[in-house]
Amino acid sequence: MGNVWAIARQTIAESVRMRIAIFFVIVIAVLVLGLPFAARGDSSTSGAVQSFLAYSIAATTFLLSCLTIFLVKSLSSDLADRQILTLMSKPLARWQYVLGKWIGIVALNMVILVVSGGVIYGMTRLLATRPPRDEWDAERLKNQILTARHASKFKVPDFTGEANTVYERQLEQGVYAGIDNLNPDKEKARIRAEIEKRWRSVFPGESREFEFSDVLCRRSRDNMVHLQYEHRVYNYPPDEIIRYQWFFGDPAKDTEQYQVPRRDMRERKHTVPVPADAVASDATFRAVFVNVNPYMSMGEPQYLNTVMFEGDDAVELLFSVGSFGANLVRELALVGCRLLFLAAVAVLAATMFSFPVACLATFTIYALAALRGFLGEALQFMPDEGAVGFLTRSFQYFLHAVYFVIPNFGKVNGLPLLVDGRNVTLKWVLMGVGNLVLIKTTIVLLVACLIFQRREVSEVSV
Amino acid sequence: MTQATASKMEAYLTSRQQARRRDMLVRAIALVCVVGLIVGAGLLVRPMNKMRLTNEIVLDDKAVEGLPPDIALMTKTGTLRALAIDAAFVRLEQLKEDNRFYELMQLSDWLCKLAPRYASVWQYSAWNMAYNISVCQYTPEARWLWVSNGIENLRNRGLRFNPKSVSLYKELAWIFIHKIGDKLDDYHWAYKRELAVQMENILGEPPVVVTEDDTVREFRKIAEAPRALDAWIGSDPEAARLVADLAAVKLEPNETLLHFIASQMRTRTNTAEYAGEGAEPTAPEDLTTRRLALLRDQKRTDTIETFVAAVRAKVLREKLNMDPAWMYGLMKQYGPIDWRSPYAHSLYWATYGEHITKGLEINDPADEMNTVRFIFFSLENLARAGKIVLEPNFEQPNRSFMNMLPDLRFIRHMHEAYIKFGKQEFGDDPRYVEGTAGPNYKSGHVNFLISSIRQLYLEGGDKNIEEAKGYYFYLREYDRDENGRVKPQYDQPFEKFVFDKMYESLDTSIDARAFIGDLLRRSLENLADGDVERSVAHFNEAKKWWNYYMRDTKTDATARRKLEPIGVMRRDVTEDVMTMPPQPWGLAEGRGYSLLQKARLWRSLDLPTRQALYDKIKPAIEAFAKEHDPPLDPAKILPTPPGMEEYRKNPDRVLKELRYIDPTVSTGEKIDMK
Repeated sequence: MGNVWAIARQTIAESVRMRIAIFFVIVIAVLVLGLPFAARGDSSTSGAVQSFLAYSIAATTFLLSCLTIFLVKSLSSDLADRQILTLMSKPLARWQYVLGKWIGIVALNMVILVVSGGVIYGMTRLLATRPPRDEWDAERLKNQILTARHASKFKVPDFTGEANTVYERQLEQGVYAGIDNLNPDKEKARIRAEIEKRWRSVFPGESREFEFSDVLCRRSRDNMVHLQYEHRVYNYPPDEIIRYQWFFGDPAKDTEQYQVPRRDMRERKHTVPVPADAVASDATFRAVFVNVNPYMSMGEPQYLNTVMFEGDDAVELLFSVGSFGANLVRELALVGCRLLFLAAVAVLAATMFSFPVACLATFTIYALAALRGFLGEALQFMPDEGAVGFLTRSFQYFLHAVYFVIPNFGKVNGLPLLVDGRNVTLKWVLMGVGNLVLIKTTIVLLVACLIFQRREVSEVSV
Repeated sequence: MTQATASKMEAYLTSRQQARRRDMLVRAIALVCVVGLIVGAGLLVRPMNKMRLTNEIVLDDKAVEGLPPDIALMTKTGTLRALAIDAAFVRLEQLKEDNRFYELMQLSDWLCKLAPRYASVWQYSAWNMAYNISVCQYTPEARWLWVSNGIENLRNRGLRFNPKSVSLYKELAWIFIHKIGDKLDDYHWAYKRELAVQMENILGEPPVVVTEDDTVREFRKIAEAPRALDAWIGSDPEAARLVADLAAVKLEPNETLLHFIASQMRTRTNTAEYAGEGAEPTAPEDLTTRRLALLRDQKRTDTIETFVAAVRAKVLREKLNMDPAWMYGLMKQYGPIDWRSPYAHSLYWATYGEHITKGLEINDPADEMNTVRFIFFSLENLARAGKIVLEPNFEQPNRSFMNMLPDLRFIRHMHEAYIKFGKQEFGDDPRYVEGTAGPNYKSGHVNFLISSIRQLYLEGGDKNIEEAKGYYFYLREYDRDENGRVKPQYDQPFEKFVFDKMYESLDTSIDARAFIGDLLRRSLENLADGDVERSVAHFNEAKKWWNYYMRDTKTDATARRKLEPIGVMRRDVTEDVMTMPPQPWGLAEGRGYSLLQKARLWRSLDLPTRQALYDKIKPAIEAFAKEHDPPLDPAKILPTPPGMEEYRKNPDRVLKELRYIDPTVSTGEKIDMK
């Protein structure tokens, strides 16, 4: 391994000499140190912290990705300037050279990433000392952003029995008479889906109970858990504000109970803080949604709005399971995984092409990996028919093929969660390390070694 | 060489020579074309640049001058700017779908800096702030912050870079008329109060005037105040001395001075008058007293008035980006506009936008027509709710008392505007008839006049009735049927036309009680505001309709359909008004009374009504006085009426008196209500 380390050290020294790394460090420093003063967010302290986190980490990641790509200049110039001939004349295997270059690039990146992460953490804490706009802002900053919250999903009741009963009844009533190819399982599944859909719709005057389990939080009045929900509303009032109330706590389990009247904008994500003593001792939590206007005593009417909770994450219970610092470290670890992979791709490209072509190729792969979600969504809006439809479909097939090889960076990006104060799980990080680093990066590096092994580093003149 | 070969060679050389000549010719023509095209293109650059400047496609040097450095830098990013704008817009949409408004705001801010001359960016950003982000806030103050951010984004920044974009004027007028002026937002009263207090902070308490013209004349002082404040101070020794004296009492020629005048020199709301025993009197030597003494110095009245007017004009220009001269022009044209009303602002921006952008090719004609429509909406709303009753709380504007009452003076202006803009917009249309609002605005104009006729009639008074008759005869003349004949609804006496709808309001005793009760409420509302004339007019209307309804019940064997005597009805409405929780009470509808209005109303009531109500309403008033910020003395709000001991012994005597008394007639004229 001595040879590998020697090459790695030489790569780092060369990169610093090239001043590319210094340039990027300066840009990152300016951005990270300057953003807190430029980030206004929505004028609340919590918004400013969220904006800072979102932009500082995204910008650092992007700049480090660019740096990674530019650092392969070290490998390319070795080939172009014939330095490689000197190196190859030494007892150095070609794979050792490739691996050393990769480690050198990655080590430099990791050092900058760790330092940047430390500065981002410090600046976040500094930004959080700004006076909050109001109590709501202070609560949000403390309990919803500078924390790591786990999201527990509600349990959808099992409607299988009810669906079977309905099916049997309809069978007896002859509803299916004349249907030759009736598939009972499919029909029962359809009925079950219908019943669930009805269950998810709360008509005016109705209520709906949501149960959460494994709410492993400190059960006390001064600790808050957060109910987050998003709904679709039919027959909404002209001001598009939906009035209803939530009841929290379970009287059967002797918890504290809370009633929260709400006026919420339709079809937005809303968050209600609830004291954690509403959580039962068996780590369950009960929330009841009541579609009745609690402001009727003030002369408001009961609007005939039906509220639908579609999707399993329509109602979530969030509670703190860790600290913001640890969450940031895990997110940076995911960033690190992406950089390791990108460095391998850059090294592979440099073993095959000249520096400009290698840069272009790596940038293309980086863009494809980072923009997978965007491309997929953008194509959904293209027409299905005619020549354009044909081209769209062709491009979709092409993308499927491309993404068979190129990973989706969106799947190893915990930034949206970090910014929302949600837990970037260790399991996710380990999966990132396993999938992106241990498997894909290793494969790319192996290919790079193989190609470089067979590459002619000098022309033979006779 | 054979002859044949020589001949081939000769032909070859000839053709080569011809080809060379042809090539030369082609090259020469190409060269001439190139030179010609370059010269032509060069000649076109200047007019094209001029067109770009005229149509506001690029920033001209004047606009760039004084541009904030971040925006100036962004505008120099060249071709990359277009790419960045596209990427930012895509992300903006994504952020909106994900409800990430904190970041959305940040991004729109940068987007506005990247493309300061792209009006849609400002429009989108302001709409997001005023509509999408504001509704995600949970307190009225936080909501107002975002509505006002949206307004400022357009008014103070967007319009600066896009002064000829009609869509920005339209959007701004829309936020005032719809977001603040309409009732769709839960917190619309909070916005109205905030805006009203902001404007009163700048313009001060509305002057006490006798006629419409007095209000306009008062505003003229601001419109004609010295524009260059510093130069004026430098040239006028009296002004310079005043500025020095104000500085000595820590008042600068800016909003601090105006805030002091608005909050400390207000005459109409005086909570001190009703303060409890514990309230501390103002120390004679304190800063406030010295400031007041300076600003009330009779010997310097002229200098102080001109100076304060100049400061007001400066703040209007710099803080609100409003031109006092244009405001004054609007008041001359449309009447005594109260600038605390959101409709006044929508009128300002709609008219100003219409004036500035008229005839520009880059603007969408639909936007232009909608901007004119906003002028109508604004005037109509000023007529329906343009009279502002405000008891400002300058520290917490949302805790102010505010009511918006009809201001019938704007009906005439609205009618004239319909005719003026109708001719302007559709004068060339073959369907246009001189003297009308034109084909597209006609139905709106007619509906407005019909409802205004009834409103004027209900308001009472000879002047209002005469005005109502004028509109009725106008409708008879111009709102003809397809064959040019007078429509049946106008082919009847004026009173019958007015009463037709009102008769329906008196079908049952419940309807009649509600209708007459509403008129009595209006009468009390006017009394609480010190408008005795309107109060009497409303009471007389109530009396008239009471008599009308009771006429039919005279033949009834029992009292099953009869109403209570009007004096008793008025007593009951008064009790309701006095015991209703005072404004502001958060989210509820704005109609109501402040505690000070209740106090004023109580003082204006006749003795029998006060005696009959005192014991009933005392507990409620005590509770309200205790809750008031600052707490007030209930005994001063609700002084005990004389003769209460006697009343308590024999209440029937007062009840009998109430049956006969006309509370609006000081002489105690009795009306037979039987």
